[in-house]
Amino acid sequence: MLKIKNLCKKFGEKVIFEDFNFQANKGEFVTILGGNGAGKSTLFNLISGTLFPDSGEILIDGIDVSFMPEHKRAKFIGRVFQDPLKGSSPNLTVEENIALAASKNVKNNLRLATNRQNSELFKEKLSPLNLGMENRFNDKAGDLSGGQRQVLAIFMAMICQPKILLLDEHTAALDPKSQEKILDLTEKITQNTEITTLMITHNMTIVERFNENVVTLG
Amino acid sequence: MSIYISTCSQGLIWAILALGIFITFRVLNFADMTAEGSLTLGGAVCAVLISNGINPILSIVISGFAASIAGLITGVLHTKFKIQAILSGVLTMIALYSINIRIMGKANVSLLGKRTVFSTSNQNFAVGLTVCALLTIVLSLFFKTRLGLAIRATGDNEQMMKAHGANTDFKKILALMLSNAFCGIAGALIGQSQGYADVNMGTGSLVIALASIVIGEAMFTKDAILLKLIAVVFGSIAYRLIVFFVLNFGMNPSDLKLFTAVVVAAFLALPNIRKRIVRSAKNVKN
Repeated sequence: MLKIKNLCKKFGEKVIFEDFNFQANKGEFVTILGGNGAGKSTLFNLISGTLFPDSGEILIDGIDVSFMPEHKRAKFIGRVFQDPLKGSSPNLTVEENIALAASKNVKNNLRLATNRQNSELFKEKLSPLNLGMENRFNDKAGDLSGGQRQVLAIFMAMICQPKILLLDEHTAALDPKSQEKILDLTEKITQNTEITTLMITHNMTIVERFNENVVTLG
Repeated sequence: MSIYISTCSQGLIWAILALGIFITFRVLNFADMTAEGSLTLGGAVCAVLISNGINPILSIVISGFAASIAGLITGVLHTKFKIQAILSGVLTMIALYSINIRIMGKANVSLLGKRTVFSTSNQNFAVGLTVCALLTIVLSLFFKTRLGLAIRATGDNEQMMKAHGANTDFKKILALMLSNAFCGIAGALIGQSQGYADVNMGTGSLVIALASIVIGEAMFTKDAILLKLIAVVFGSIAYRLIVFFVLNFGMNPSDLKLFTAVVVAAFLALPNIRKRIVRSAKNVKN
């Protein structure tokens, strides 16, 4: 569950949030709308810790994360960016990327990152999604198409079962066909879970498709 | 024949430096100037230890640790104090110049008549090959562990690593320490093989290491990390053979650094020049 209380954030003289309150329950899917400069990305940056609030509180499952460093709160949060290239490491293979995302909360760092057992486990999780990704495990992530890289990014964001999933216009940079595929995938993985999902979009057809809960900023 | 073998063994010893630079330059995407200072630091520490009767192998290990501290300092300057990568390295490198003279007590230390790893076995090639093979295997295994993979991904896409909860500052510092440890080990071996450590022994070494990396990459283009490391080793040997031939061909030894710089610049420019040619060829067609 995500709870934001009395959040304030200014950039110079420009006030982005003033006494902003917001709550999203477990398993809820919230679409966030708003013009450029309305603070959509700022909100995501505040939640994930790349920015800190001027005042106010951000609570994830009751834990105050307002000033927790990004890498510490990352275990609660999965984030997918607009740019598909931002979500994975191009020189590592698909499998290595997934293994890296899966070991986010694991302590023993000097074990081999990939092994057959994990590999089977990843494939098992991937195959019901019908993405064909399991046949490209040994390819470099940099060799995937934009759409496939976004699929990989979403899968990586979800593999550790975060409490909150942040989708930052995650289909905006894709062609219509890939967009459709990514939206299908988004639906599949967010239904019937306990994950709270926040999605930023400018696209009204996407808003209608997920029209459970719409918040407009600005 | 023996001249070729000694040229190759030089290549093997210097390959350790090239492997170290590969960690920063290619894996971490960090132009680390500390290397020239750490190489000398490794040579200086090792020479002083050996002249005080310490076992030469142990001295090499200690030199590696000493040089890793140099990497730690550069890493802290860069990550914690946000000083640019290149400047952090230059600052540590310059500081090391004074420190190296303090360690040696003078500008150079001779190992004449002392027992070194090369005098006990009397086989430069065997020693070079053993150390190089060992370090290559260890490094390639390390890069397949979670930590190693995380370091590679940090160099590749830092933002993604942060979003996945990695402390990227720590990863960078660790990679710099590892890289400089390799430079220190290389310096210790170079000092032992030439019979002395000198405060200027590191000057120009970074470019030699870069030359080895780019030549190696031109020879092999495989993606697997082990093969990339092996390519660096072969690149280092190839560089030594090229130098041997151009010197034999009558090139003035003092022009060697110019030659090396041109080689590195040319190899780094090559892929971009090729792209331009392809692009302009397409333009002509259209």
